[in-house]
Amino acid sequence: MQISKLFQDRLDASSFSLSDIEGKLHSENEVREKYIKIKSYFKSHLHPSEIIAIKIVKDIDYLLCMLASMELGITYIPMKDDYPLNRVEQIQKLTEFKLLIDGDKLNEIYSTNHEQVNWSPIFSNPLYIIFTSGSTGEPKGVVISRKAAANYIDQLKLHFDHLSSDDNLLQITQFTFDISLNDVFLFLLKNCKLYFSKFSTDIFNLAYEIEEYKINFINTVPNNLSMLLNEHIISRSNYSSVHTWMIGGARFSAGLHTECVKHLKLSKIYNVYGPTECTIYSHFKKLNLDPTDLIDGNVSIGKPLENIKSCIYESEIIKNSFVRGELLLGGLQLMDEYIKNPTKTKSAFLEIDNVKYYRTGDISYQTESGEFHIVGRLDDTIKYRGYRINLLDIDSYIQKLDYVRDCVSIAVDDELLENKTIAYIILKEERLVKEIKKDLMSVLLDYQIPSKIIITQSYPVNTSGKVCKKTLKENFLAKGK
Amino acid sequence: MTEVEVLKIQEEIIRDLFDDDSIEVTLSTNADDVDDWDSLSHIQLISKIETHFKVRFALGELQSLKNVGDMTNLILKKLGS
Repeated sequence: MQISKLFQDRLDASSFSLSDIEGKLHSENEVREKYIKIKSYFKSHLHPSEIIAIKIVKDIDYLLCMLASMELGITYIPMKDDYPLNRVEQIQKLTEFKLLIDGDKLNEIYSTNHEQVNWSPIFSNPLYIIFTSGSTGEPKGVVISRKAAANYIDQLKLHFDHLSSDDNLLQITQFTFDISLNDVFLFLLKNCKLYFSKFSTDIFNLAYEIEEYKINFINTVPNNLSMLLNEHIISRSNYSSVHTWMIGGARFSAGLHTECVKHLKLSKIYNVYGPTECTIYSHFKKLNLDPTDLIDGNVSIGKPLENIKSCIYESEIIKNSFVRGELLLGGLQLMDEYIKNPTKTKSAFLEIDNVKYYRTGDISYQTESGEFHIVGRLDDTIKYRGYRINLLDIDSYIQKLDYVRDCVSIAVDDELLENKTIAYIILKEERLVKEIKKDLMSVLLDYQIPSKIIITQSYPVNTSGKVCKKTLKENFLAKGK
Repeated sequence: MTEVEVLKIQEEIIRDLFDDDSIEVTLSTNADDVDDWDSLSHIQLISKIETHFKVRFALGELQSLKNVGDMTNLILKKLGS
């Protein structure tokens, strides 16, 4: 499905069905008028090769800016409205984006008329550039082509063919997280109604929205589903409207599988997997909600999507079933590059027998039936609330604070919350934890800020003199915190 | 029961939950003010409040809470105070 065709079909549809969380249905005319103004502004202020960044609150205006970019062939960069200035500057330096859409710019777009100009879209432009955590304090901009996204959209259409225009979707995830595009693409494909969630961490809010808006399809991370199935939430909630759950962005635990069997047996539940570098997701697994979904307590991620090649690698491609190695992904959904980072781009890929593969860093094996299971990570990257966090990245940002001598972060696994990040900091000058956290808000994104900061005088080291993270973790768990 | 009494009890519950007697709770206190107040601890807090005051909150009541002050008003409403 070409993205331009997707748009043509959608724009020919009888109405845009977008509602804000308060339930006020935007009139078709209001939405169309906003959309036309945005497109006119883009056409009159940009060259087709230029890039825009969107930095407003996640709501209908954000979506319209994204859709306008997609339709016009303009590459967009999603940001959160509360990104610290240094983050915006880092991204500007890497991408040289021409236009930043913030609240003021949006007001300008809506309040002025713009001259009509001819527009020759460049559909070979990337669709979007999304930034993920690096390991050195510099974010990596993942460049995704329209061709890669088009393959993914085709897979969505295939696997979620049962969705219809009667279905209600809930935009839960921030647009800076690529899984948010599942809702956007399904909204476009199926003409569903799309509601914008106000949920951030209060799970009661999310449960309320699901019931209130009679949501039929939920796309979210395992942690949120875990919370929704918590006895204190589910006992006062009603998810009977939800016929399909698409759960990905982090590990689908055996514990969560048990809860799904108990509470959601009548629903379709998909465990989905994939790095941002492989356009949202690369594997879908429709769970049977029985023991066949698991091996040794590990839930299957299923088979690769069409036009994606998966294999297991340990100095060579492993063909035998159940032998572990690094999961490599090839095929149509691979990113173009990390923008302006040829070194990292080169090291992210491996070429074997003239096939280019992305190195996921995930340890995996394949079963005889061709399904894959993820069993661990090769490096210091963890998932928290679905977001990728590199612990070394966190350390390098914290070490930039003047009063910090050293920082070592660990991740403590929690069955429900996936991971908590604990930062052990050695200070040059006395500071309260509260002050440190406040300073970190100006250099880290909200999900990167450690769950706990512990001020220490020294670190345990191993026989090689390296900081022993294992001992730090054991000590933390032993204290029962 | 008065607002002050309800607030005091919530402070005790929060201090106990987060194992920190130094936490000071006011009507404007919310999750941003307390370390480790995340989704799971929020659920635990609601459960402890319900158990202590012998009340039950509906989803619609909980989703609109912004701070301890809102919770205090809700508790008082449930208690018929």
